[in-house]
Amino acid sequence: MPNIKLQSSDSEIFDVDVEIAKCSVTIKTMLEDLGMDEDEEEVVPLPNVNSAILKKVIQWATYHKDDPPLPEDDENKEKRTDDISSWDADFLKVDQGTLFELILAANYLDIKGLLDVTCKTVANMIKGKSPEEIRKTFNIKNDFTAAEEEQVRKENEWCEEK
Amino acid sequence: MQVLKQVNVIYHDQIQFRLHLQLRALGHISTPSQLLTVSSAGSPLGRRTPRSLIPTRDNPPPELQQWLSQFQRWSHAERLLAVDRLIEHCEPTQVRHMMKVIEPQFQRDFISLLPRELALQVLSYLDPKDLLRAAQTCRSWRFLCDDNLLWKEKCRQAQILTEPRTDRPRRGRAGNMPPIASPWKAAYMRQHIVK
Repeated sequence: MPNIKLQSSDSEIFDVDVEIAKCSVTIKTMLEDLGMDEDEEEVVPLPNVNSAILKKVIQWATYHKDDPPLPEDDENKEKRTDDISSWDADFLKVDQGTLFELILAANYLDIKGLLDVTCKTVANMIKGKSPEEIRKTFNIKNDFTAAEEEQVRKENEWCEEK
Repeated sequence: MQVLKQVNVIYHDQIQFRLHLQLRALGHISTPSQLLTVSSAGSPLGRRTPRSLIPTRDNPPPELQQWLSQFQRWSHAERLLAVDRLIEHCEPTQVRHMMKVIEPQFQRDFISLLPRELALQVLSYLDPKDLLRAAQTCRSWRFLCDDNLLWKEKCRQAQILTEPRTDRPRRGRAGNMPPIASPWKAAYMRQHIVK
């Protein structure tokens, strides 16, 4: 398998199997547009991804290289978040800063599978929590006045709970 | 022993007392005279009341700056070693305090900080009940959780297909914030009241 070189924002070079690198639509398009010859020693610069995150992304892409292509999003189907594989769940046991950067990298590199699973992970951190628990989880400052808080409480009241 | 007694008088507060023992252990207070200057340093009234010796950012122990300067002169590896040693010298309550300071640095307010379309993708995985709770956390979350397309999707999943009315709901207007901005959310909520 031919390899290509990817360069992180902090100038670290990663030697990656072309097929694995191409799970990123951004890299795939770049290679096609540039008509890069696989024999050439060219380096693909990725100025928006640092080495720590790029390393994680490559690790994820390597594990998922043989995955079947993702089905198109079914608009009418309710989106699930309980279908994260145990390998992915383990892979995403990272601090919030790392998870945040992984989402940005998956978006920039256009890796749908990674973007979906990282967004689901954040959604799972919100699910089932009270507003105060959500604030605690993400270190959010409550910037409502007392009157506004009462307003949002009323307008978001779930009638079943009465 | 003489020194310790004096320290006890000045720093009747246990924590400060320990802090100074630690500083001493780290070699930043070496002589009794240095300790004694602490009691009168920078005080316009000559002698401070013990209460004013509680250290704050504005009122740090005099040796703190020197201590930090030394730290900054060290290499990365030396700093790591110093931090390790410092933690070893800490009481559990102080380590817990460190955790409280450090933990928020690893937290991210994803919804407020991510680009809008990514924040909305995260929110699209929430069911209506969770969206309503998330909307109550702060202003920027409320704004995104009221996104009209997000609720259009929720309406479609719940088979609410009637075009929403364009008039806005008038539920609970108390502050100076505009009421719910999403007609589809309003339609969803109305449907729920009807049920």
